[in-house]
Amino acid sequence: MNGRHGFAVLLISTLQATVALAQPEAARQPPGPFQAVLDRIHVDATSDAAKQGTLRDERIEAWLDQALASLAKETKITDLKLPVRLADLQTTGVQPRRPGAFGGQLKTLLVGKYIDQSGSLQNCVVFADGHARLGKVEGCVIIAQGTVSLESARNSVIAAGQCVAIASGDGERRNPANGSVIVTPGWVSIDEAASGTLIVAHGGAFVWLTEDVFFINSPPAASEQGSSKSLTIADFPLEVRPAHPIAAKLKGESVVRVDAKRERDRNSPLRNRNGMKEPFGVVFRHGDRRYMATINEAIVDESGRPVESLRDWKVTKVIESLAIFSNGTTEVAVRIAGNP
Amino acid sequence: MKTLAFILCLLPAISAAADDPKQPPPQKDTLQAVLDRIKQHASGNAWKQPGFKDEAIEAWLDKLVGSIAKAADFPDLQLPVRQKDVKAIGPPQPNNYEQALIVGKDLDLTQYNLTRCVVLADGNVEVLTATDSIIIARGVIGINNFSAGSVIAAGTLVRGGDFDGKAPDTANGSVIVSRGWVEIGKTYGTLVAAGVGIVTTEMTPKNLWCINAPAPAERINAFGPQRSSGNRSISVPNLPLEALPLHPLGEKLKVLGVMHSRVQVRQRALTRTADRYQPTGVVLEFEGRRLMAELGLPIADEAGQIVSALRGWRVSSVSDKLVILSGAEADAFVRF
Repeated sequence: MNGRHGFAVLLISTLQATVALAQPEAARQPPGPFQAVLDRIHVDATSDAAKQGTLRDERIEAWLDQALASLAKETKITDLKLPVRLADLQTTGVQPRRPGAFGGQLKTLLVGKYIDQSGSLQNCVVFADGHARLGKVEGCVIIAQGTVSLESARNSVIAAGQCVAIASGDGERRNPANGSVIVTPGWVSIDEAASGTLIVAHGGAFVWLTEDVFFINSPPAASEQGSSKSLTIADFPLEVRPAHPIAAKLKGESVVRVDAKRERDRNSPLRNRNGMKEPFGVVFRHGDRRYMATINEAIVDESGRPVESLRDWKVTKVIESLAIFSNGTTEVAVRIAGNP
Repeated sequence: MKTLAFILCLLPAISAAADDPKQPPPQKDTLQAVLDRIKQHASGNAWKQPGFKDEAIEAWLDKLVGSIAKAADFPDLQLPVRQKDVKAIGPPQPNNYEQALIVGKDLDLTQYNLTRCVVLADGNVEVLTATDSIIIARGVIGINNFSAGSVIAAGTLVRGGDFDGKAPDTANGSVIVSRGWVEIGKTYGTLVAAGVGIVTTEMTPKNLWCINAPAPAERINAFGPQRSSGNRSISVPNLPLEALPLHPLGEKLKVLGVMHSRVQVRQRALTRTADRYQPTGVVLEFEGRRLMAELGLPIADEAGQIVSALRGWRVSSVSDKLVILSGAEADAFVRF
């Protein structure tokens, strides 16, 4: 809590700047419960049932039910339940706007590799075999292999293999009943308020302002901070992923954009990151050197020569607080913590 | 809503070169002549003596404001403060300077409100607010919050605050001139002259008086013309402001990208600060190398060693489509 300006800037994080994520293809053991869900989505993404709107995946819903039941029991929030089920959905794929009707997507199933839908989603289910980038979501279930980036969320269940980033807030201020459930073995970043949010983030979470937020199995095992609580749930169905050694050697400093627009004052109508272009690269430290990596390009030094120790790696995704490095089989999330 | 920046005017390219020895010495009625005098003052202590006054600088300011007042038919426009009204700053004061004379190389007054002050810099200046003050700088002048009733003159760029003047009155706008660019927020009777371009962050600028440049177009919608915006174009044929000199360094640099990081910034409510993602540097290509240059820091290579060919230079301003670098003796710019 930063008492000087009344906001709680809460950094729940490991002291390490990085967290390593999945090695799905290299793993010899049976997949953990969450990896099994992601594997199902990998199959569902190309299934005929998904295209025809008849997708029913009991194993995914069973995992969701198990996760919510576990959270409900430990947090004593007894009315915690899935906001929408596959059986409730009425349409598949992005629907065109109808005059006089709700402008966003309603009770719709969106399944695919990369899902980029900037409008509002209400009571929708989104399964992304890659990353999902969405606008305002309410009463939705969203699961992605990689990152989930949202404008805002409310009363939703969101799970991601790497990271969940919400540009504005989750829930409703002074009403904790509308917070979302966010689950990831990686990171959570919420740039404004989280109200009534339940966060399971093994890598850590950065939240601007917390109101009645639960941090579950999230480092550090912090005591109460403001109106947030830390809990440990031993049998929560989210496996801990082994750290890749390179994770400790990379330190993110800044994102790189094509333009220099500024994030505006919160009192301004030109607020937040609207109008700012998506980052195309990241500046990071590796050993005693500082490099810039461009998304999906080989990592080179200042003269354009490949960096030998990072020859097999590329950056595949960059958001404000995180960059994802991948060598094709392993993905490593690197927190962008600024230049000290 | 998007942050919109409109380039209102782009005047023809400038052909002079700052380091060209064949160039004639600066003429009397130029900003460069004033900047040369400021350079002398900044390297000495004469300005700290009681009664210090530079007649040539004040004459240039009188000519600048007088020529605008005459052309705009605005006889009340005059210098807000004169050198005889100010005295050299003594020990640092908390947050406010009033009737102070401040002279130096690079002046970081980010935490200071200036009222009836005179600031002369042989480099860049950052202030929090400027009211009824005079600020002249060789490089970039940054107003972090607001300005009013001031005369602000920069060699390369004036980065104005959220607003200039005192709403809703239009009699307290500042005179803001630059050989290069002026970036400005809301304007209330602000008079602006910029050798290269005026950029406003407002979607529909109002009460902006453009000197020797066209005024922003009036808005017209399906119902016809809207209420007048109060924008004007004023022709000042004898404005004592020369063209922006080109430094050869700018031709050797290419901007590959802008680095953004979380930084703490001051909010509009002056006592508050907050974290924001803001530009903190640029990625540059220079002589076949890719360099990461942080704002205000020496330009180093990937191993952290200062690049010898760029020793003494640093990035002083990163704004939309424009990077300004400051050296010990000159400034350079790169557009992207």
